[in-house]
Amino acid sequence: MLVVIPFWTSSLVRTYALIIVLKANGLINTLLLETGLIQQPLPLLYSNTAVFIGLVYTLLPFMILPLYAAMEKFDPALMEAGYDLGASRLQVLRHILLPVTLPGIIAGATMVFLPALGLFYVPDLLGGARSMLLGNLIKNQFLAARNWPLGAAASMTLTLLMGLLLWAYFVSVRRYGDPREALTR
Amino acid sequence: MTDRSPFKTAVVAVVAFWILVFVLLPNLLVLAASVLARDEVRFIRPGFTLAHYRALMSTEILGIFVRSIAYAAGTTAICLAVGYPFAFLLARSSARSCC
Repeated sequence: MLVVIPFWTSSLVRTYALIIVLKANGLINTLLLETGLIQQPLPLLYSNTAVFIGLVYTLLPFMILPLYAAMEKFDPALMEAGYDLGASRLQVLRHILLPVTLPGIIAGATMVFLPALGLFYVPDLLGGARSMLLGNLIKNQFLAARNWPLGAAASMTLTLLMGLLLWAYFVSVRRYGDPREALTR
Repeated sequence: MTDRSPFKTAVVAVVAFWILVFVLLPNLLVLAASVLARDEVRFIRPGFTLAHYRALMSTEILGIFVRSIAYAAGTTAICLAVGYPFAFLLARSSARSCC
């Protein structure tokens, strides 16, 4: 529930809201200045850090939901059994939790990686002049530079790249699809 | 699964039509635009060329590709590092409190 609340507002609006939080006289800088932790406002907005914050913020639910789905089906008794058999916390994580939730990890990584390649408004709004990503390149070629063929070529290449990754995802699902198989290894 | 009700046929037809018109067709148009020559006024004009794909190989655009992939990979790594423990706690806590 907590995770899906952000979906109630458009992610574009939420990206604009991030500007208010990150800007030089925004929430974070005002708080840090008032408490005396910093003397100069941090240059948060229009930096690569801001792009990262924006991307992670926008796409985090897409990572959590598949992971949650994978972990909800996971039987905690398996972890208890691991502890009973003398495994350390790290060993339980490595040999029980990670293999069982691997399909969730792969699904989440796909659902974050692919949109992150194409999101153009987050670097557009939060990034500086030097943080141009593929989405911005394509958008600029179509709208600003008016070079449709180049933009089309770039988006076809991106589509091809995403297609390859999706294909790899389906192959991995076929391989790691059944969580119980991973347990027996 | 064996009976082919009109309802099922209609639903499948609508979805297939939707994908054809709003997914496949635009992508084919983009594919077509990517191999046509550039025109200042009307954006594209007939004439097959692969020059635009060659233009993508410039260091500038290649750098953008590499940076995009790096950003996406970094975002995925951060989301995984943050989301994994969170999803774990979420799954455990709701399993205990609900039902």
